[in-house]
Amino acid sequence: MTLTEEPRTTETAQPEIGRARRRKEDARLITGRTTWTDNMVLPGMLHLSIVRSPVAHARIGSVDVSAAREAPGVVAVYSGRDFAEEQGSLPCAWPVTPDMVNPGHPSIAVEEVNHVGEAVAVIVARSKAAAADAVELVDVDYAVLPPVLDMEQASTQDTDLCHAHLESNTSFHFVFDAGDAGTGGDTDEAFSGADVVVSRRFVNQRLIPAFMEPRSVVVQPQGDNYTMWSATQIPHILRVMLAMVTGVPEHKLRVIAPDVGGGFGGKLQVTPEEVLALLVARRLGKPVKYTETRSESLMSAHHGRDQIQYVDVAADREGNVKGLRVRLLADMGAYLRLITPGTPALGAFMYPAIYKFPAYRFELKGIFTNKTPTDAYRGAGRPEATFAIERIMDELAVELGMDPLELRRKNWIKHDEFPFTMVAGLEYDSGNYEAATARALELIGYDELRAEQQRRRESGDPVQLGIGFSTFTEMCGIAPSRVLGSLSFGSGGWEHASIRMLPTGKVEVVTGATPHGQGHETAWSQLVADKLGVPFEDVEVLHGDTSISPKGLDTYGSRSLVVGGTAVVKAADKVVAKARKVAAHLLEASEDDLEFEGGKFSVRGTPGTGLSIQEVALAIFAAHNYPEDVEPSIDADATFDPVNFSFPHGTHICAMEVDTETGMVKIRKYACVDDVGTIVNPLIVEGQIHGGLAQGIAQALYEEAVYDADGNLTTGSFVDYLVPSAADLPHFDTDNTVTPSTSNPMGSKGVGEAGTIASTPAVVNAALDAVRHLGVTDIRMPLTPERVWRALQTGGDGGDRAAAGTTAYGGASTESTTGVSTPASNPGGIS
Amino acid sequence: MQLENSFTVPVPIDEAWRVLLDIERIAPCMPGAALDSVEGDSFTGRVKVKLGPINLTYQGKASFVEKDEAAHRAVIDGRGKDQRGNGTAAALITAQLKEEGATTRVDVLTDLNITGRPAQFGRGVMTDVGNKLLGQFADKLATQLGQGDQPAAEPGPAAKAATTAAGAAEEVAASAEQVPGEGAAAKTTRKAAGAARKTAAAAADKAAKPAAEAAGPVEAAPTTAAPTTPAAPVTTPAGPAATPASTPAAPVTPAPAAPAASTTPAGPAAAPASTPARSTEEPEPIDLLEVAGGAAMARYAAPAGAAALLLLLITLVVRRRRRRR
Amino acid sequence: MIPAAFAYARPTTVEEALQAIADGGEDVKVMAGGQSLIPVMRLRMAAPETVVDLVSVSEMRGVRDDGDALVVGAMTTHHDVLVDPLIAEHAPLLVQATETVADRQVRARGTFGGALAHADPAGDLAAVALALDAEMVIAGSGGRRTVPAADFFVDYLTTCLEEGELLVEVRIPKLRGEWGVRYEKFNRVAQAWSIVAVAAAVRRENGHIAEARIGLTNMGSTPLRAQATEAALAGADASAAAIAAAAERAAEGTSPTSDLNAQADYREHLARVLTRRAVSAAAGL
Repeated sequence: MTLTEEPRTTETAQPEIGRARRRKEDARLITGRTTWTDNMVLPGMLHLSIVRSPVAHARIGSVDVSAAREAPGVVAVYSGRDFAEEQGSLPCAWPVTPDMVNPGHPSIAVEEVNHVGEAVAVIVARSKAAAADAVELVDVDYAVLPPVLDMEQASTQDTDLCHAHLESNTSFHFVFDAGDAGTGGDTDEAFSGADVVVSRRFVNQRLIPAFMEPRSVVVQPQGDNYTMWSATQIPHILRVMLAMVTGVPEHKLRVIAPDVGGGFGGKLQVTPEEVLALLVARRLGKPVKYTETRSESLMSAHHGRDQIQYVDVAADREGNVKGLRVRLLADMGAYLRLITPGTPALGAFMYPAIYKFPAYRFELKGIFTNKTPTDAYRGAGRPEATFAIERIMDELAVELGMDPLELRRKNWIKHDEFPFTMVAGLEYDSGNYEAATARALELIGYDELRAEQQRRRESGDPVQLGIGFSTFTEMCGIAPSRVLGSLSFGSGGWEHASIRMLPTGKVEVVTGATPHGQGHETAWSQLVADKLGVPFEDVEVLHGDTSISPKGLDTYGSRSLVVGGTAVVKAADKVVAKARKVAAHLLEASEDDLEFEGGKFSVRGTPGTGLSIQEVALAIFAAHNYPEDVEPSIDADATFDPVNFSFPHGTHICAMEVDTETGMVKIRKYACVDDVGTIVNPLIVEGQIHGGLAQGIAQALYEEAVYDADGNLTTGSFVDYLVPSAADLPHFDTDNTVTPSTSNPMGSKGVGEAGTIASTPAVVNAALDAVRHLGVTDIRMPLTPERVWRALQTGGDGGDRAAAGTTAYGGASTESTTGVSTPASNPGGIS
Repeated sequence: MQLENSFTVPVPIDEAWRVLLDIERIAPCMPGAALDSVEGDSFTGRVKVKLGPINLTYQGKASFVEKDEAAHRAVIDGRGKDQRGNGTAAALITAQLKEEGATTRVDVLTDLNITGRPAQFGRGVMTDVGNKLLGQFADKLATQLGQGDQPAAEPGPAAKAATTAAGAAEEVAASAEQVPGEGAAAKTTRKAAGAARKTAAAAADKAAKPAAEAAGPVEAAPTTAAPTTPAAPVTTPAGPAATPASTPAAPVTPAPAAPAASTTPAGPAAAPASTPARSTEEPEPIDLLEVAGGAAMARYAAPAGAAALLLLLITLVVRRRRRRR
Repeated sequence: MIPAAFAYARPTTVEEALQAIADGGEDVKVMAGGQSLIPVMRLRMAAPETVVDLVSVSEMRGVRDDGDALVVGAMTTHHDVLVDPLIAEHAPLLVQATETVADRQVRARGTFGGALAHADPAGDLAAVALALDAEMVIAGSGGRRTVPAADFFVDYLTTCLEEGELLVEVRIPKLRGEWGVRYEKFNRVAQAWSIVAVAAAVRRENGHIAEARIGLTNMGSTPLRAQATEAALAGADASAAAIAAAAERAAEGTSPTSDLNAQADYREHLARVLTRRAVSAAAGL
């Protein structure tokens, strides 16, 4: 077996970790030539369409499906009453407080609807067109109720209720007080004794995840077994939840996430559509498919963010921060979905950010409104926190007359102070804010930009220049399972991997992570190639199918490399250990005399002899000659529970031009230096940063889900919900510093959400820096040209955007005489 | 959204009030509307709205929810559903009359709510449509109220001839609709008159068009009941509209452009012969071209137009009958 | 979403097209590039019984020189407008505006005439047609008629086209003399509709502005001409001060709507600023 003279294919001495490998999955993902859920065609498959409520809040009078039933190609039509008994309630896996109120979440409305887009009837037909045609024939009578839309209003006592059977619109009241927790001082004291207190109200607007691939689900019954394909980020969690909700036994349910076209947290969900597809398939005994349209997706897939933030910071005259107080109203939407209440709570510990606040208090109220439920969206609670703290630090700097960067420097954790337990009790493992900042200043050309800003100010240039900072950190990898337990999070934080050494020397890595664009197949191959010394091309990564990868907690929260990758590495270590035993036996040496280098076991001091691990794999497959006390296998698996979150950090600097005549803002330059610990694949890291920046900048400048006074989502298409394209975004100057994490063997930190978390406040701070001297104190996000212009004209923050149906929008007035049209009565929308 | 329209009509307040409460006179003021049924203070029907490529039909019901005679205030609650499931439209229309001597000022305040597909666009398509619908509604309502209990068209300047002529025909038909009695003939008369009036309203809109287009397709105001034979007594081209059979309504002496009054071939004079059918036809969409063409009306209300009108109305009648299922 | 079922006709000549429209019943819809119609149909905000597709009517495509005017076939795609040498020479304002329309895929199918017949006041080409005093050639069963752009655009999404009529050609008079042009578009993201845009054509003579044509996009329910500004510019100095003063009047006579992108007062402000910028650029300042 060692007779071949072929050169070892791990010819390069270059390790895989750190190598900019082109991604294995890209050819099929970018060309689309793969199995997306909607591509699936099964014999006898039926198509579902959903009749959705056009009104935001109403009692359902009657649902007349008779005409729909008669339509050509229609096999069945169901209303809520048909599933009332068996549908149960969609799960909320994170009851953040013991007395949190959960109104119950039907997959299909029975007695009332609570948001536009809620399912009211399901049509089953032989073709997609027939199903779509029959939607028009279902006649639903709605007795409209007043919609609850304004959070501040809804949280008061005497107000309309979103859910009549509840006492108020408040779902929960969550408090974290560092003084009470023993991790910091008392905020009342800190504030009452402070020289300077700055208070602000920020609005973190509602966003829509807007993944590229619309959601789709296919269910195939086989006897009393069910297979579900779904465009989901969480096949493992989905399987457990579906079993609990529908009663289909978990072991008879297989969930498969085939290739999934992006999720961003938007597919981290147990959706009404998945439940309905399963219930219909069960009832009819036939395979069914449901694929949403984009309009449906924007309207009924869960939304993100949507908070009103009251933030107070206390400091002394020299700029040392003394205390931080945060009070949030978070919009749950009409129902609690999988982690709806937990998303804003995830930020609870991040508001103090990188600063050494001695005192901190966080209060959060979850409020029901008649809108689409909110849930995770890239960053999930941490972008909101970073926005609030980075904005208020700038406000404090202005109040104190200090340079915003100097204020940050004065208060941040110095790199020799790590590990540092901050006021919310988290232990930041490592970091170097000084180094990242120095590099970022260099990258953006800071001094020249400041000089230019000065010139433009002095000359009164209509185009002003501003520079904004965001020095962020975030907690990712979700968490150690025990910590999650203490936070009432419904599941754990571990991850699983198993490695199979195939007889021909190829390696199969089965991971519990579920990539939907992140490139895990590439990164895991790199990790394994390094650990086992096998060629990168010889590694195949399997994921996403609960029958193939039976154990895992899927992908979200920037956890996969840090937790899932660590599981892979630990499994690989076990494989090497097992192989060493077998190799020692085959080489007739003691294990201690063996060296393992470049994938090969050799006896120390005896060059020329040796066995590659691939040869060991073949040998143990044959099992003709192996040690007595072992099983004939060198396969291994590992389940890893992190001991801490990981804390990437970075310094982002944005230079922004503001056209004071029109209010148009444009990013002139954007530079960021992110420290994500050890980098496994620089291309993947850069791609994640770019994508994160795009979505963070989008929140600052472009995207907003707007509801009108009747509860209609007026940004119901990409015409109005502005997802920026490459044409709208600047060139990104990115770089990294590397301060390895101490909580995993690779030393890596999460990167998936970092760009989004950091960039939003950098952009807004830059715009304000450009026009503060003209009297502007704040501008609401997104910074539409109109909002910027209004802030410049009249002060204020630019205000609400007028949505059709609101009184701000207005209709026409006409005045005519003698009953005949006059020019004054010419219609035309004059307000 | 809130829409406001105001106008003044040259009739005393009580008369204007009476007309306001007359469903069959005011419901068709909503452009593109087809009245399906009337029951007490409620009526059902359809409103078809066409705006460029967009084509929506709302089906629903409206009722008087308030009729305060002392305060001269009426409130109509209208709700409809789009026939293709594109959402709903609801309008709460408050009409407030104020006496100003021998004239009456009418303020119409509408609370319009649109849900579903048209509301999902930030450009507020339906607001433009809402504005137009309510503006036209107000204009037509003004015409109705301005004519009071009795049709009393005055000869107007030539510029308004077409409108007035058609208005006259409307009045005739309107008064025919007042025909009392529960007998079949009376009912038929009322329905045919309703048809005639709407046709005349359509004619008023049509009056703006250049002659060449007179043969164009039918717009606006659909009919309910069947007009009968075009051979029915036609009044002299210069003469007044023939009074509807058995109605005590006063004869009309409209302006010289009165050939429009030859609506009567379609009208009640021949009414008894036919059984009125409930409207099962699709309502004609309001063509917002017509709406916008208001300013051009004055230009085209020429006698030539009137002759074309006669031709048109006959064509209308014939086409209607042919197109009925 | 999937459109409701419809019958489809694909004539090859204008005559056939008119016949197909007449045969199409009451709910017939003409399709040019389909870039506005198809989305509306997919959203089921329209469900025509018959769609008459003009894609094969080759006589409606192409650009020709007719002496003092260019004649652009209504079915000429935006892409073809962009690469046509006659338009580049005689109507560069149209090229500038067409470049800003949507994206490459839309421009490959969308047509000049289709955009005009759709009459969306936020569409870029209507204001250009108005500014260039274009004439619309309309074919109907009774023959052809020509309508000036000012009379063609009647209201929001509404033109003077009767049912059964087709816009077949657009005559664009050549600009004689020394003209500068500029299409100044204001939009938030690339490929979006204009929040407001200004199409400016300025004729210079001896350091003066002899004549100015200014078309406004999205300042009302139809494209509009900034007549007050045009009057103020006629004969004015080609100077920044004169242009600024004239541009202050750009919003007169307009009735912009308020919507999610801008309220009316902001649109009026934009009209003034963009007019100043467009005229300055067109005047060579």
